[in-house]
Amino acid sequence: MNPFDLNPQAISKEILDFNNKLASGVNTFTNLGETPTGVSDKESVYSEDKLVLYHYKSRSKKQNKVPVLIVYALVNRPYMADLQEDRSLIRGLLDAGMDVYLIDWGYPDDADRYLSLDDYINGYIDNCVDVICKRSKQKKINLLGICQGGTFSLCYTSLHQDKVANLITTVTPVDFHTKNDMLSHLARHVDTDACVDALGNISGDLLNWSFMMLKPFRLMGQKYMDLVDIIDDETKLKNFMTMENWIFDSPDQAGEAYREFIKQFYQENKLIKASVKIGEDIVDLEKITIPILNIYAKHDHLVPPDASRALKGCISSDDYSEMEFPGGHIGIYVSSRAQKTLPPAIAEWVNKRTK
Amino acid sequence: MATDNMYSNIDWAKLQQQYTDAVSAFYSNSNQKINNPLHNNGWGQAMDYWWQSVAGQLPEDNKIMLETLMDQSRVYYSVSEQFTNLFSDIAKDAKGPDDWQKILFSHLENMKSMFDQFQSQSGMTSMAPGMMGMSPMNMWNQALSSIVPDETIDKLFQVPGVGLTKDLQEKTQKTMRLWNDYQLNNQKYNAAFAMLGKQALDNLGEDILARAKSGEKISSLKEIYNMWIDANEDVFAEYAKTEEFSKLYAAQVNSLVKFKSHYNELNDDLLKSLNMPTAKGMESIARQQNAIKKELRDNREEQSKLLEGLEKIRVDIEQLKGNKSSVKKKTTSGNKKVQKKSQAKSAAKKSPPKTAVKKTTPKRKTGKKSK
Repeated sequence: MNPFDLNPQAISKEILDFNNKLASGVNTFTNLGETPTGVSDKESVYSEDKLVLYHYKSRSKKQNKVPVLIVYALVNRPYMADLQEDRSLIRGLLDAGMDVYLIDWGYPDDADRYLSLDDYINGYIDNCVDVICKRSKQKKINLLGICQGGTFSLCYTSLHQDKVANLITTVTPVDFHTKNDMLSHLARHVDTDACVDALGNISGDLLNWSFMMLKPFRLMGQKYMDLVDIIDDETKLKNFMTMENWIFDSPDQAGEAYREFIKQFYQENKLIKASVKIGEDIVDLEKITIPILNIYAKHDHLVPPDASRALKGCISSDDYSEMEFPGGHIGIYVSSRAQKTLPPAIAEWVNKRTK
Repeated sequence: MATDNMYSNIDWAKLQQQYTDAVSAFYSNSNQKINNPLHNNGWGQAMDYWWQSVAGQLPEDNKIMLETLMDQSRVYYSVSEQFTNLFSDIAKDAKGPDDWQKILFSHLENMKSMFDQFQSQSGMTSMAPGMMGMSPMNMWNQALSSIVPDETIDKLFQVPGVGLTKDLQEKTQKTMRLWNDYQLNNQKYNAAFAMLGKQALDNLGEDILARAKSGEKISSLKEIYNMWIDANEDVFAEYAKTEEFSKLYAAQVNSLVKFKSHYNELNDDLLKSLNMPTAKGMESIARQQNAIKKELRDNREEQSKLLEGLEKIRVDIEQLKGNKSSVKKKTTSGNKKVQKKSQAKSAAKKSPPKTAVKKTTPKRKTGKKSK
């Protein structure tokens, strides 16, 4: 039996509707204005080169005295954690009584071409931790790493555990060679040395393209067709554009740091082999004994759950907890479900360990 | 003859008229009046005319995003047009209840042939995967698209240079050879995608048959478009897991990077000849700057440790000073005790003790005295 329940009237109506939406949508676009790049009140408390350390204004009377430093990935911009009033991990943490700091890495340019992982981890992160310790009069602070920032946080904790009270990793890759790690598969045979030598800093657009290559038809095609369905709704369109602008707000990657990260982590999978070298130091996750909360996303296509969950077998901590979020790599921060579950869970976990 | 062909009694000419109305929706929203291009163009082309009329008035911020939206709309129109033609043919030619299947697969074969065309060209067709247009290599393609990649041409580029301009000839040949190598890898990559596109159409046909068997209806063009996307995504996901894809992707990137690297050298040659700063020179400065920064960081750490050490020493000294003064105080109070004791002793002398003091005779040293 012919399954097509379509007649010319239905087809022409569908095309008419589509065209009308597209045409009126273009008008909506012209009235859209700028999209936000972070919504919560914050002040700059430290800066070094392109880096700025922000401290967020408290939103709760009762506050945990031990601050949380959010370490974001070098890829994309950190305001994803504070995208909109109703889609903000940072706001959720502030409401839950956390004292929140965030590292904004800025936009590296040619002068930053030779920044290495040593500069990022033993330099920038360590300096930020020292600043926060001094400001808060604490000897240790809490770290919350996001994606690659989670991997950096693990390296940092392994090397400077005396300054970290608790560690929260979110959608953080640890084992880079799990079966479904498409990103790692894509990078496996690329000549990273040649790339960095030829290109210097690695273009953010190039990286974005690599991420979209993982689901090319949905992310470069279908997504925009679905947009037509909401294009005449200014609020929904603004939400879409906020996310879209964030996706394509991609800083270039400092060449040397990129070289070290791709080779040591993605291609040679050295983190789980305790052989990643940061400056003169070897990162051994087994040295980590502090409490860890590892949050991963069930449907993450960039960092598969197995890649994150491998952490359990690499550390020595007796206080290790896992939390599975039923969403994707970005949904874990911006979905409405995430707003209700993630910040309270993190705050509860932290408050049990530090007050 | 009675048939369940739902399209047999439909006026497709009327559809054309309704379609005209549909596309005219664009023009009612356009400030610029232009000739209606419908009668000899497809849906996508009609949109192009409209887009040309409005694009210039749009704010730059959202223009790239809207162009992407237009690109995808073209893909949607293209898929929709293909299937609308299919429905028209079913209406005309399907006599028996299952004839639609033959017509469907015939159409899908026709669509697959468009991928063959895609494979033989370096450009993209409207039915080719929409993401091709977003390749970062695209700008290179556009910049040097006049060079036709060919394995025989590659041999020509390997002919050694001669004479006074030997060096320049060889560098130029290397440029062409590397570019050609990239183009070949790019072609292989695109060919793989074309193959996936054909496979996805096969799968789409199977999905439609499965729907027919289960009695599930397909009631919109968007639904067909979504099925087509799903089929492509599934086929790609399988292929992307293979070693072949990983190597194909890497070969494309690596060959582009080799070309770029050589291109940088040529640029630097030119800049050097003009007595201008070269990329290599700038990199060298950046490297030195970074080394100085690291040295500075190390020195600061060292300085910080030294200051900490100094502070510790200062505290120790302060403590020692404190101890000394407390010792003095202790000594003073101790002397008082001693004085008290001596006073007591002299008092005792003055008044002999009631108990007799035992006198001891000093022991004499034994041994010989040497003269």
